Amino acid sequence: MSLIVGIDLGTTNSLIGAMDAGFPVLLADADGERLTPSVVHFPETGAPLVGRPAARMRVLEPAAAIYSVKRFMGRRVGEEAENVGYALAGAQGAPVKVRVREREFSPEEISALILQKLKADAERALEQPVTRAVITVPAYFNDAQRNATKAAGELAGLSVERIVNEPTAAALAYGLDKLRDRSKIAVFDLGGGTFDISILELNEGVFQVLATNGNTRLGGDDIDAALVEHLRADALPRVPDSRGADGNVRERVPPGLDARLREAAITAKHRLSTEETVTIDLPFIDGAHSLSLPLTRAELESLATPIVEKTRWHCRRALADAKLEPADLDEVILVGGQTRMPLVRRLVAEIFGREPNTTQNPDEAVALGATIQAGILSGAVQNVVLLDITPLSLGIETFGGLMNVIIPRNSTIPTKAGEMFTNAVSGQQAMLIKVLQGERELAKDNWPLGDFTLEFERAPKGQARVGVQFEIDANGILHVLARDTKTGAEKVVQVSSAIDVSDEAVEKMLEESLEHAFEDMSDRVFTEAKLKSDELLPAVRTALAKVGAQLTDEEQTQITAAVTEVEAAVAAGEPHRLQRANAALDEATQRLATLLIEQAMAAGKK
Amino acid sequence: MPDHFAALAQPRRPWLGEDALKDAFHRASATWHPDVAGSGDAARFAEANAAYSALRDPVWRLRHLLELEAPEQLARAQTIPPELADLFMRVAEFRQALSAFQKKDSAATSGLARALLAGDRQTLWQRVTALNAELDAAQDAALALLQALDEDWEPRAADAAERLAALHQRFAYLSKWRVQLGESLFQLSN
Repeated sequence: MSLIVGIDLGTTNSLIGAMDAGFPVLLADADGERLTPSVVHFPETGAPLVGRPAARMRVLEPAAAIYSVKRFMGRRVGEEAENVGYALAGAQGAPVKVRVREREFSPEEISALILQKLKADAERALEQPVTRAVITVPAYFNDAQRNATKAAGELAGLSVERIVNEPTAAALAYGLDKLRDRSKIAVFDLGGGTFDISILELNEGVFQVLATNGNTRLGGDDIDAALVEHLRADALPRVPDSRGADGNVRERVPPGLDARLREAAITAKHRLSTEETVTIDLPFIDGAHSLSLPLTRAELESLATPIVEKTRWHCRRALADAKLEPADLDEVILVGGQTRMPLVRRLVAEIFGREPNTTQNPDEAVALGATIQAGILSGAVQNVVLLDITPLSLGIETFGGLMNVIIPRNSTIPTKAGEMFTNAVSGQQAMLIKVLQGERELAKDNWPLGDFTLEFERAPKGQARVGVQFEIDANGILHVLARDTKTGAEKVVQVSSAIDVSDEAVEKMLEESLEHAFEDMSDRVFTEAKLKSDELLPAVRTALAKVGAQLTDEEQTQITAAVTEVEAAVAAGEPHRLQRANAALDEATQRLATLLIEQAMAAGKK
Repeated sequence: MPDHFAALAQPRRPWLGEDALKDAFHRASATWHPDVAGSGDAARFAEANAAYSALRDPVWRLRHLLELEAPEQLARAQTIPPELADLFMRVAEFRQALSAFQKKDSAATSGLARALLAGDRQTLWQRVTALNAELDAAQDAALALLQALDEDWEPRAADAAERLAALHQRFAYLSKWRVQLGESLFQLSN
């Protein structure tokens, strides 16, 4: 068997490794660095730069330095927030493209450039050609995102032997020297762009994943964005050039400010993991003035808390799916750079009722695990096997637009399940089957993987029968096989991917979104705001009657003022004023809401 | 019809130890999983994987045992076992109350409106917790019956098939409610 490398293709950084004498080893590039920033810079002329030199160009030329492209893998326009420093292209509903220097690139092409760099580094370090690889993806990646990752590998000239889930890979790295153990562990993986929680059982070399959950749009990038926003609000009023004649901050900001703020935010975030306060220096921010902004860990934490808190639901979901209580776990392993943040560690400790295990290098564990999986496949690692699962339920759309689950989430892969289809009317020759992934009851709320047409032979109603086999392979990728029950002939069904929607479909979606845009916005804003105040005002009255006596005079006055403003805005029929008034009333009644919940909890305990 | 018991080298009986079954699956995986260099066999692993999902849950295990031993029993009409009728009514009432609450809860857009529902939420949470405890007790009772049936298991015995079918039904209802109420508890706790 020829050599197989293991690759962690991360949102922020990527790594590559290979087995050496039974141990996974990460390979360094020509500069001796193992971490390659997942950044590609396109200079005006010449070949694209990848990694550290590209990352340095992020501040100098933000529009041509592509970072965090993993967020767009397998995604369509409109699904993903577009708050990146470079331009995106593609019509609503079509695959996302990156636009740089008048050229468009798919996220796969950008990722392939990163993979090519890693491949070259490995070939230099190993002094032999590298053609086969295991590549990791977030466990919660869907079929389209996995296919896109595989395509990126192939574009880079690699035969992708396996797509492996990141938290599972980290578990392999953790468990490789504990093969005699039996234990249950959770892997909490918060990276730059994605969050996964996986629960595994380790049993004498068998690594069985019991449940996995996550969010492919949650990670350190979100904290960076919140911090940039905060710094921007802090910085702009201090830049004289950004003030208009009325003294208000104008939207025009010094060019390159956001890229510099992002760079400064990331550095500050890292330092605040070990320090309590930092000062962010931004010399010559608009060419003339320099800024110095203080930031405390507490401030960072208050910005990050709402983001980090989102992981709680996923952890509880995974535990419930694994039918385990936190106390049943032996260890909670932290991986992903963002888990260095003390706030994240405190939250994990609280959710799982134990101090997390930080023995794994949060940046390297996934790549080491990918390398171990590569070793398993090549035979270099023996007595270890990984039983992974599919993170999302697979189903088809049935009558009434419902989702009919065929392979439930958390099923061990590879797995297959059959479904029999019959003609609903006499002589029906074809049936369109829509394949979905997700957990929602209504088909339209799930991710469409694509559709295919089943062909029936002419027969009376209910007589033509075609069996369809859905198979999820060890990569978590779907294959469909149809079998005619009469002839027994099998054929692989091509599921037309939802991501390659036809031009016609794209145009239709575009038209619809345009129609939408022409609706009278201010009317709608007012109607929506009015609905909210209709709910809020009686709720405030009821709540005041129940627990109003516990409020301070000041709180009472604030609420009364906020109520008066809402009533005035309704009377005046001013949509945006009403929105603001509602928000203010929401804010003013927060303590009222807390009191109500406390009262209910106290009553429940009696 | 595959024989899932044979696929994991388990005795064809109503009761299988959870840990023994898991170990059998893990042993089979360590040999047959397609990744295992040398002995990997995709078809054999698929059999073991299907067998493990079919045998680990009493509902599916008993169903499979009936398929193999007494398929005629599966064709019979399903009714709620009389001993579960009362529990069924209370589960149904609770689910109605929960869905009414969730309608109100999802309509509430402000923190205050949701806080006003905190009392209802707390009451429902207590109800579902109590119902779950009852379901756990009913499951334990059914498992005790299953173990008793297993002790004098003789598939050819006159009443074996009926007893097995009755238990299968009991587990099927309990399992459905346990899933539903487990989900309700999860939703109410968030």
